[in-house]
Amino acid sequence: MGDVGGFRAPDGDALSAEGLRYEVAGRLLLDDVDLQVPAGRSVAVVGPSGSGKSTLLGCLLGLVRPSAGSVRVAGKDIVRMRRRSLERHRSRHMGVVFQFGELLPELTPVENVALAALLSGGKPDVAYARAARLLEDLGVPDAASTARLSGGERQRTAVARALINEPAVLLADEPTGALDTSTRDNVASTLFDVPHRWGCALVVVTHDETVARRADECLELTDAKLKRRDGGAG
Amino acid sequence: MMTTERSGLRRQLYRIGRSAGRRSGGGRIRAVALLLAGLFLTLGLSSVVALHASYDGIHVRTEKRSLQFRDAKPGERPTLLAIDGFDEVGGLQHSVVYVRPLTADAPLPPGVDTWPAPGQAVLSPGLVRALEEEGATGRFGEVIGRIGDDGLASPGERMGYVNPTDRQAAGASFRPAVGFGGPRGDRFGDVMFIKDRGHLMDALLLVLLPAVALAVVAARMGSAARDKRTAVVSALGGTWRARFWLNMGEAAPPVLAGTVLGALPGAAVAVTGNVRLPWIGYRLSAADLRHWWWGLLLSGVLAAAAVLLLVCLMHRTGGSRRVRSPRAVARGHGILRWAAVACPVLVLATVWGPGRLDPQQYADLRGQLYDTGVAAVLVTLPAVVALAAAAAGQRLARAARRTGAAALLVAGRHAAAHPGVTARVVAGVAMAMVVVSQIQLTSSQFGESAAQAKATMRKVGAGLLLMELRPAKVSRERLESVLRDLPVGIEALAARTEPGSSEPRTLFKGPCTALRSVSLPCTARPVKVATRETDPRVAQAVRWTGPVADGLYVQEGSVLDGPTTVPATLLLTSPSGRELPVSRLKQLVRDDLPIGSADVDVLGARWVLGANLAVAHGRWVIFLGVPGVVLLALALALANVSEFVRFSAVVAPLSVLTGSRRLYYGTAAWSLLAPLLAAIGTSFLVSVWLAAPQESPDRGITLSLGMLTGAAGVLATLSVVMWWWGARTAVRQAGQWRPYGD
Repeated sequence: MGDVGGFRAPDGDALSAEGLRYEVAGRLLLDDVDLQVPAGRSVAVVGPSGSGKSTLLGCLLGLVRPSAGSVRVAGKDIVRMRRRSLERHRSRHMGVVFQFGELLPELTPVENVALAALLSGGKPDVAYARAARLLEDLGVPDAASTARLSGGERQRTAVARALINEPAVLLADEPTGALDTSTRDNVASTLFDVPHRWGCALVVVTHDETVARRADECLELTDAKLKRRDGGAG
Repeated sequence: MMTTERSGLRRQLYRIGRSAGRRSGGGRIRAVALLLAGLFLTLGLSSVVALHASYDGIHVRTEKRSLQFRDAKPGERPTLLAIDGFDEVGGLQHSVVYVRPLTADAPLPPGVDTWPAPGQAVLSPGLVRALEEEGATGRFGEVIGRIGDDGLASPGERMGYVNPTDRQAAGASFRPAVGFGGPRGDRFGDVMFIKDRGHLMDALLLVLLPAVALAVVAARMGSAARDKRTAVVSALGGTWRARFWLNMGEAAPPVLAGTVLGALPGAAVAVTGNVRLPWIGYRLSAADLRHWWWGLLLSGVLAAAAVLLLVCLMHRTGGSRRVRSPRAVARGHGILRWAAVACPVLVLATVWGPGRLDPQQYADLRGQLYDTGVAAVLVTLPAVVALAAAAAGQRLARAARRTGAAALLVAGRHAAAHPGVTARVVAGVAMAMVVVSQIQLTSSQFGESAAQAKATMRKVGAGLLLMELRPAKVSRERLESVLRDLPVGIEALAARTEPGSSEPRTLFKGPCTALRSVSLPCTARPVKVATRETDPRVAQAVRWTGPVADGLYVQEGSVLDGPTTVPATLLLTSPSGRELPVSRLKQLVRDDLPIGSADVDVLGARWVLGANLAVAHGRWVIFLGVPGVVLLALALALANVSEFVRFSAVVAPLSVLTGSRRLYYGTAAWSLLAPLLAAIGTSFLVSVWLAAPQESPDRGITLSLGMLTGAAGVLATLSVVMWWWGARTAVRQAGQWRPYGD
């Protein structure tokens, strides 16, 4: 278990996608894709541009509805969920780290992190306290605004924000794509440390082989199929 | 072959532009803004066409009915006798042509089917309506018909051809005429009362300029994505032609839809019939518009071309994007702080400063200082609201820490970090309020004499009436008859200016009952009276009739007893001090005395008539100015929505993942609606303060709080619509967001 709060560790796989199929404009992007990630484990998905990595991420987040298959997050199939339920479930069990952080520059790092908890209906004092602890754990200094942080610090703030609601699944979309080499390594270390420290499942979509190799398991999306590939850390 | 390829490429670029516009952030807002820009610019240009069509029509029809007096055509046989006279209804003057045909085949004026017999009249529909409203339908005798549109300068013109009774005609200064129509004739009707077209053209700029401002805002809306697209096209070797077709694809459909909608009102009037403009009451001639149909068409084409040209010209082709350095941002904040501090000082200086100068000696300087002050307040006012919002933003963000209100946190921090954005958001409404109040103030000003006349009318009212006579035209017998016919209880005093003594003096002469009715002494010999100590009605009467305000003598005697039998002025009073029946007495004078020989009215009425006309002209400025200001506010409000949508795009990932859509409504409420409402309230107060030194009820200058409240209501409604629209657009845009970083 991690250092902050009591993260949920669901029975079995935290994330389980089965038989995913997605076709757009006559082009098959996902064909019978399966993906299982237990709590405390990390998976990297690599693949050439246009291979469908982002579509897969969209399906896992429930933003893209596959034509067939299921996506179970924390034990529930999100493909069949209505919008409101899906949003609630996503807010409670999933966290996302984006390529560019997507932080609000005027807010302090603590406020940026706490905001995600507040939007999910968390109590303010608990949200702010947890945000401060997460940032401290991830080594982000206090600042008057997020705009004053370095690229690496901003991305670690994004990781903290993704973790604030104690998600069962953490998804990262090219989390190091906008960083230089040394910062990339630093952020990647932080990110791949998350499943061990906080006990959630991590899926990282990346172009970067160096980053992908740090994952417990590395998968490649090619020809609409997700295939296991050698080189994962575990 | 080459041509086919090119047209294919054009079509392709057009389609790309169109779909890019639909997909881009705030694309719909820009489409609406472009549509409104096309609509209002077409409407503005159509109004210019309507203005020229109306003035041309007025001049053509006025010339066609102009009276051809025999003096100008000595060789021709006179067919009628005529007097081009005036009358007044509803406080506004109008023309009345008194005619007496001499022969059975006397040519009829345009729009008239038969000659009215003595005691009959043919009136314009506008005059009939006005007389009905005043309950004076029989003023000119029996109305046997209406003047048709072809005989009227404009469909709403108040004018009439009256064949007087023999009693009215006897002694009247009729002049022989040979007929109607032709150059160098005697012109009458609306043409005497309307302002020249240049003045109205200036007023139309109040609509046209905001329409252009809206077009500029619409052209630049959502420019970030478009500039990027254009840069890519340029980098790929695309020429201005390629960019042109991309822009056309995005902008042409809404702009063309707007111009079609904007051309509809003009076309509808031209096709269906005359229309009465709301509030102003002017009737627009359908025939005139039909005559200028090509102008209406051209206004649509020009408006569409102008907006599309702006769209093509007002975008960067890459490489020239301004990057704001932190130092520049800090400098911007510093300027805002200075402006915010200066604003209250400027308000005080504008309200008190010019008033310290002697109005006689520095009238112009006072006006210039005041105008400069108002302009300076206009520029600095948004900074006050912006800095107040920034300060409030810090507090709101701190409060959000306690309450957990996410929208407060986001909006508060945004307002605190970007006061310049808030200043831009509120500038439109703040300026709109002040400009509306100033337009209303300047359009309600009378001349100095009219202002004094208004003051007199308020003091005296109908408690004392002034009858002005032309002694050369009125015989003793006719006046005696009028005096005999006066309603019971009304007394008359003759007011004569006697130049015989060493200094000119005014002598009021009449029976004792008349003198005592206004508390004057009744003596057989002239006795001097101190005007200051008399009944206020008398003091005002002396002021308006005599050469010296305090040189009043009174004497008991007959009103018809004097150097000239018929005095130039009579005062009508009542011993009871009650209001006199002005309309009835006016009609008595009309019926009993020769045309144009006498008039009766309250003191100062003649001056006020001119002022009323000026007020009627001023209404045009309000009629065009207020929608113009609202249009300007709309332009800036649309820019605000666009700005909010851009800002809210940053929140999209978080709001989508947490499923919180209310965040947008809350954030828009705090960052758009609250500052806008605060700006409306602040500028309302500032408008009232700024109006204070200009207000002068005696000169007709009063700030209409009703109008200002109405303007505030319209702007507040607009703000609420912008809040809802901004939030809804942001929600929709967030719904389309996908986490595809690259």
